[in-house]
Amino acid sequence: MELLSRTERGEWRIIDELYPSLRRFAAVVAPHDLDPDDLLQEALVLVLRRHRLSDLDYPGPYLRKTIMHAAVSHNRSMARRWRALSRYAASEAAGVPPGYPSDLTELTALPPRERAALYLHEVEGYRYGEIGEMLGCTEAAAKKAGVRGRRRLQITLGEVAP
Amino acid sequence: MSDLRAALIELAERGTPVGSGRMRERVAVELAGPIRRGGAEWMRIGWVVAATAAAVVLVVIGGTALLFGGTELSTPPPAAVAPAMTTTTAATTTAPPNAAEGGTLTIDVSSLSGSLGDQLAGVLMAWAYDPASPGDYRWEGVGGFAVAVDDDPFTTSQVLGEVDAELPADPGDAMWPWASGEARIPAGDYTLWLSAGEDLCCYNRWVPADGPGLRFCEFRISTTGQDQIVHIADIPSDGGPCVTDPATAATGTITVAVEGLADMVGYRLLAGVFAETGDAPLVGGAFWTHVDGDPFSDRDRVHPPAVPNPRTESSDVVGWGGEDYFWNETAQLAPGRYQVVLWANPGELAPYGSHIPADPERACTIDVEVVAGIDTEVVVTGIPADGEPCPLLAFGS
Repeated sequence: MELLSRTERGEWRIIDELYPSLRRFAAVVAPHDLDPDDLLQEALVLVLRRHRLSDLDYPGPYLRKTIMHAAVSHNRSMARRWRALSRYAASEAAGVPPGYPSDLTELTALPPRERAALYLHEVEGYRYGEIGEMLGCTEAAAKKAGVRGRRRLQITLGEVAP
Repeated sequence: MSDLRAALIELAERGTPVGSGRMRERVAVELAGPIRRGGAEWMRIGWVVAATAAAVVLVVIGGTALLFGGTELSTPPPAAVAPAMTTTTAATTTAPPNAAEGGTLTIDVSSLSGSLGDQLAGVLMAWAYDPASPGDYRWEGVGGFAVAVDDDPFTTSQVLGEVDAELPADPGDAMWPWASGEARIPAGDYTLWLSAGEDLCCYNRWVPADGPGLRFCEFRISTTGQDQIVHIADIPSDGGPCVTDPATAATGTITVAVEGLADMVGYRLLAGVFAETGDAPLVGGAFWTHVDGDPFSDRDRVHPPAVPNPRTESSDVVGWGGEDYFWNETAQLAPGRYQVVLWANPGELAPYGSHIPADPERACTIDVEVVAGIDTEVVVTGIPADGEPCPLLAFGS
């Protein structure tokens, strides 16, 4: 009967509990020129407009998925700008000595899904099956994203041939 | 690749987190619209309006005359008309003998597009006190309708039906519990949700869960207890306020845009709107943003205040002030003359949470006339430091 009481204390409590981990995740998947808190805020608003967090069985994974989608959406809308930035970054990086990481440029150049898969696996220790649930894809797709991201980094850093 | 984990951690820790408390505030503001304090706060900035009023009249009239060759700038040209969002009008039917018993509410949809074969459902809901609810307040449906969309664009006129007091045994069997009689809607403040999609079932009794192609919009309405009609044209694809038919519009909107603000990174930017006289309280607000680029551009519609909402009594939002209320997301303003005031202050405005800074470093004003069915847009290129009129780039739609 009740609908979307989005400002109940219970809802805020969930946000309080999840904020640190979600903020870190947002920082990983957000475009480099988008504040992670802005992305997290956008995701929270998107979810709270449709659901109560307390009604979700797993609000954390659901919010991660929403953050992920919001980040991808930002990337699409900013595609033209991204291309310009990449050209700029490439010209700027020409004189930078090899080494990892220099300024996280290599990581931020990865697609959000690959960054997310790497982070959730390497830092937070999730299995790819769990990561797939968070990212809204299959276990195989999550694993592929992680492997592809790692390989892209290796290629970028010159550790393997393209 | 031995440093990959360290790099990922560094990436995850980038920037300075605002903290969960601040995040809650930001989410609440975006969900509910900007919030303002009571009348005492408005008096603090009375000097802003008083000191700039005369200069505004002179400079705006003179400046815009130069820009537009003497055109009456407060009324945009018809060619620049943009649709208003949603409007209501009194129905032509006779009001019930006792308005306290409530009136009917007709939802007039004029051009719903892209939903052929879907179901269209509307639910009017009230935020009502309920001691049995953990939060004391809860949404409660007070009327609704559901109809099959059999044309594109689709036109229909639906009188909200009564709510069936009995819960459906299975939500899937009776998602929309409307009895056959017409609902009598008492005078009050409500939110209308319109949804269109396949198999509108079942987040709960009132609202559909996500489904294929689901579209929804909402519209806040204050009913008078007499028969009324809500005019809606279409449902936007991405949620938000419902779109209406400008031909039936009884209200207009103001869009305030800033373009190319320079040397203002870090400033908090707000816009308030007063009635022509400049008397407090504000009749609307726009923006709630930090200037994060140089040059900086942004735009927002002016949102009038919603009527006091019990939502504030049951939420942490109350922390912004004892007389908080929400701006109306539908952004409708009655026709008439208004004065827009832009405020900017380095860092946060003080006290935080109020729309009105006690001592804004920068402020400027613009006179605007709202015309029914027209979105009047003003484009400001800077905010003077000493309360002068806003420099305008354009005025129109």
